[in-house]
Amino acid sequence: LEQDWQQPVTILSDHAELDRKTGMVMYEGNVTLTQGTLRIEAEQLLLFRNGELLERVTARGTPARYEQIISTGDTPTRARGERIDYLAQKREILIEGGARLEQDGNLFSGEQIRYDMLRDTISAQGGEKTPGDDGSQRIKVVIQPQTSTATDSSATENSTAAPEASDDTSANSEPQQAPAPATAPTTDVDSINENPES
Amino acid sequence: MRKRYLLLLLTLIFGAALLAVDRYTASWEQSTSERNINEPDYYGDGLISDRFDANGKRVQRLQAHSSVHYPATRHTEFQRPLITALDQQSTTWQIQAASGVLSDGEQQLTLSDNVEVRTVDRRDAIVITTSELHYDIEQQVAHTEQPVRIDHMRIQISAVGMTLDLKRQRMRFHQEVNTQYDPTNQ
Repeated sequence: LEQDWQQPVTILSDHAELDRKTGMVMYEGNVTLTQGTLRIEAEQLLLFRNGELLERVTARGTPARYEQIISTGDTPTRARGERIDYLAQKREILIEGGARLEQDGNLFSGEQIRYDMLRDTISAQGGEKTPGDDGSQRIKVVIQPQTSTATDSSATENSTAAPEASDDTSANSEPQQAPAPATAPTTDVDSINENPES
Repeated sequence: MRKRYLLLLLTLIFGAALLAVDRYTASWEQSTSERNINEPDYYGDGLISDRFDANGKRVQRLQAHSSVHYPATRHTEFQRPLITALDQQSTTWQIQAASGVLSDGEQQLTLSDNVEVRTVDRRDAIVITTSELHYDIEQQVAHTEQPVRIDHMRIQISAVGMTLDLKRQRMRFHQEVNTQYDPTNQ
């Protein structure tokens, strides 16, 4: 929530190390960070400050987990990955290493996912292609069908194909909202920029 | 016959008296020797002890309101010790407590009761409080296994056990670390 940023931050951990020169604090062992509805769980957490301001939090784990309610009334947005960077000033989350993000039932997974809370946009990126790769490094998007009945009759005329699989590792293809078929469409591309509100 | 009994009785009484006097003097000697053992051999008021680096710059000063040295147990007790030390960035640190103990020939000063560590002249001051702290005068490293509390800018940390490397300005908190950070005015 917007007011999360004004809430006190609480960090619990087994051990911690503070370096006064760099302003960096490293927490290790069962680390949990909470701030309002924000919650991060990890095995290691690095806190970077710029003077008195909280600049960045880097969480590492197997996996590290993130959860936050972005807008009042929303279900929590959840993410997990080997590394989660929480950029407090820019209000951004960067998830890397088996990245996975769930929001309002929609699911994004890939090698790297960036979630911009101010513009409410999610951009995802597949991993480097390797010979004999089975495509697991690519982006996977599962968008839940709209449940309201009003759109059913009009939806059937303008059905569009799922986005073409592109070879570029970071092309910005804007997926069309699929009509409401019985099952959730699965899109498998290298890179995607999705605004979950559209 | 009666004189003989009387003489024997007097001798017995005299012997008992001698025994009592002997026992009394023996215990008196023991208590005085014990007191000697515990007797300090010197004491000082307004103690100041300075340490200099290879370039002749003073890097640490140990002060105390008073100090008493005990030869038998080879240790010195300080009242209101205060250590002022510089770290690698010439930040001044101060460590103070109600009392302190230093064993002869040792470098580890044990501080007790209201122990406080603070930076003096830096904008982002830090204050650490605990009940007991072992400070290595030469290495300028302090450690405790007691609960500690740290106030540093808008961060408050409580933990159990800490190691503070004063020269390198690094702190490690051993267990049960709880950090509260108040980002207001961000």
